[in-house]
Amino acid sequence: MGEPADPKGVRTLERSESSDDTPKGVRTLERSESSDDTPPEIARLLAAAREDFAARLVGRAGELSSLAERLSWNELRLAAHKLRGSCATYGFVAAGGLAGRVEDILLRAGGEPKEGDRAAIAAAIDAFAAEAKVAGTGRA
Amino acid sequence: MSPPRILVVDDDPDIRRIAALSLERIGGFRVTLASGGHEALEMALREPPDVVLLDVTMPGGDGPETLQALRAQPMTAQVPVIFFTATSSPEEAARLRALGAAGVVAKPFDVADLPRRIRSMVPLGEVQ
Repeated sequence: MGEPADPKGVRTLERSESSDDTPKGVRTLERSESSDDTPPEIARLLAAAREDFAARLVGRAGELSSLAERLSWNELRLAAHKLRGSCATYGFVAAGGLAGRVEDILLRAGGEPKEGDRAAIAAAIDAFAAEAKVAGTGRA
Repeated sequence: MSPPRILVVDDDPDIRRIAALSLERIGGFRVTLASGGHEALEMALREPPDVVLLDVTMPGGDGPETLQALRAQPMTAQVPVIFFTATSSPEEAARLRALGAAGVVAKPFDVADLPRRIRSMVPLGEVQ
């Protein structure tokens, strides 16, 4: 049998992801990786998928920034919507919450966000980028 | 006994990957993947699945449109469809069920529990 799954950074990220608005079920990927019920082969596949996702998160943050700079609000909303679902599914709860914040602001703004909303969007994207950097390096 | 066949339709490759991993390796499903509504319809007509897990928000043929297209074809009219959505309000879930969905799975989803949830929404009976 293989070694237990404990990919670089997983424990560190768990600590960094504690959040009051943690969606139900989002810790499952880490739990599945480390659970006694999960066969080692599947645990390794889950860990590899999570690491791969984490490695690409900084690029996704760059895409959000680029869309905001180009004032492509609808595309930004859709990109944030996708990340809201995928980040937390992969266990990156804080990043998922920040993507959700971007989506929610844009939904409330209904098309063209005002200056205050743009500042809030920029702040959420900056925070997302910081989370992505932590995820990608496995350092809190 | 052959494993139930599930068609997972999502334009996000990260969601396709983790859903396939969950359903195939943990749940024992036979999984096929489509990245959009048109591709899903073609695949479903070629080999009708036992259930479709269908993303709601996709560019070019979203989930509700794809559901309608599946219902319009005799070969796929009866195939149960479960929506997959990151918009998880009760109102949205009710709206999607009213379109004829067998269930709604919210994103983020529980990777270990997804197969059980699918089976709880659709009586697959593990095809003999």
